[in-house]
Amino acid sequence: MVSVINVKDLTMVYQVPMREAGLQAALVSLFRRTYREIRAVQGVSFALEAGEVVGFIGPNGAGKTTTLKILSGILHPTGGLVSVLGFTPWHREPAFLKIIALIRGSQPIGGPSELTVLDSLRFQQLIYEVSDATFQESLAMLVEMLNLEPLLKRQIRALSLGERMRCGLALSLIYQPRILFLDEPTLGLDVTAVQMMRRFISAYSRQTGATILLTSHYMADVEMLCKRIVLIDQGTVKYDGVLEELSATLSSYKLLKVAIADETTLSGARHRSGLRGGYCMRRVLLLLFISTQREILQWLAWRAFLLTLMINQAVGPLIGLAVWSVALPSNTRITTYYVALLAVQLMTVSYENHTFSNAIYDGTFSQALLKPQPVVLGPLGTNIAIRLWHLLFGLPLLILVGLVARTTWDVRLIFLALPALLFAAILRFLFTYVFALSAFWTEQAHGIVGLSETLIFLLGGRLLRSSFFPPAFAISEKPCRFELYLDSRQRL
Amino acid sequence: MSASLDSAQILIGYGWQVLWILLFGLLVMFAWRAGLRRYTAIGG
Repeated sequence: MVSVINVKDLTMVYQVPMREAGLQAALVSLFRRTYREIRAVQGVSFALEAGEVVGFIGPNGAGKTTTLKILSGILHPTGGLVSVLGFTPWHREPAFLKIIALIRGSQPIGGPSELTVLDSLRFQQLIYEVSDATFQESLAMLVEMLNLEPLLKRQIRALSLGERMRCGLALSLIYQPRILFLDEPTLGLDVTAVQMMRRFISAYSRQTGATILLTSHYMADVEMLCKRIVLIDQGTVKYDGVLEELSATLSSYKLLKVAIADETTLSGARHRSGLRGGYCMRRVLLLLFISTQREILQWLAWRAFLLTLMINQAVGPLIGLAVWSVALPSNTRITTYYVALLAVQLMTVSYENHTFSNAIYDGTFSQALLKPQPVVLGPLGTNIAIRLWHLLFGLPLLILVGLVARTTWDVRLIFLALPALLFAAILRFLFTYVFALSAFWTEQAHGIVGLSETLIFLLGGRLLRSSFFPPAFAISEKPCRFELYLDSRQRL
Repeated sequence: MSASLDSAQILIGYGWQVLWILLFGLLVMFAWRAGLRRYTAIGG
């Protein structure tokens, strides 16, 4: 037998902020923070052979989830050696991510929940490069084993917890991973669902020969599924061997220990860059296309969002146009200005704060790290989708407003404005992205992205302007200077 | 329309935009690398 997972002296230390209860302590902690080191995993070593189903048990906070996260490449350990099928997990090579799956009972499905189950499965197929034949074969098997037929056409957000878990399994198993990390797969399920889950896991391991490492607090899960168990407590391995011999070895140790503390919030983990070699240009473009497509598909199911998007973008300039046209009826430049304002707003609006920092905040970013693709493609796809949406619905509106306001159109001007608008859109994306990335340090970036918007408003025009129309170039009767700011505010 | 297009000025305008894009592109890369290193999985 060949060992597929090798863990040697694995250590993981977090720093978590601590403070006393109450207002005074909270105020003090604003200025002086005290940290405590949490040794989640201390010198853990074990090896798994191909096709083994091993139970990884221990009380809450013992380090099980942390170990699984390290093994699946989400966290970078403080020390020790890990090899999974010859890969170092935290390097997150696409070839590695394509053959493993981490399924968490507390968070079975990550990513867009507006899509239907079948849509999500299709996107998994594209991201994991599963051939049509394999996809159909796996799908048929999973539909039968997990009784998915009635769920396929439903939206993920409308699923119950048990249904979500079944779909989470299907989403991960559709690409036939060779190693499965199951983190409390029976968490919160009722008796029948638990039975079904156990039967499924054991049937799956028999049929595919996949290596499975599963954690559970229910001894029945482990008894039924695993010959071998690894018992971990306070970050160290207490027992590793056959289940039957456990009670003999650790007679003084109570397995059903009452857990007092919740799992600690993890912090201070080290992680390496996600953008490593292994992606060709064609693959990146394809993934970007997939991400854009998924975003559009999601919106189409979300009418209220589309409506507010249009209103937010169009109503401001339109009201401005109406007010200023009435106030200064003789100044024809005003209409041109507002049409341009509408155009720039439609082109440069950026939604990183909604996509990226949210993912960090609610933990779905972990799931993004598991996908065999550069993480940045997610927010990028969202932005491209927004642009396409504006092209389809914003542009006709723009032309309509232009016609109503009797703006003078100049083909050369439009031709010149297009690259400038494109550059402005890219710059706006990068600018907000930098601020959205602050979520890594603050865990919430909404306030900071809001600050960036204010900065753009106050300084953008002064500091980051790029005038692309020379003073002599006329867009109305009189020559005027037309500057495109980083933000959508121009000056005449 | 008595437009006289000064192509040099237009190019300089685009050039500034590209420069800003490069600067912020670098900033994003830097923040991304530092951020991932700092990243902690939330919620156990």
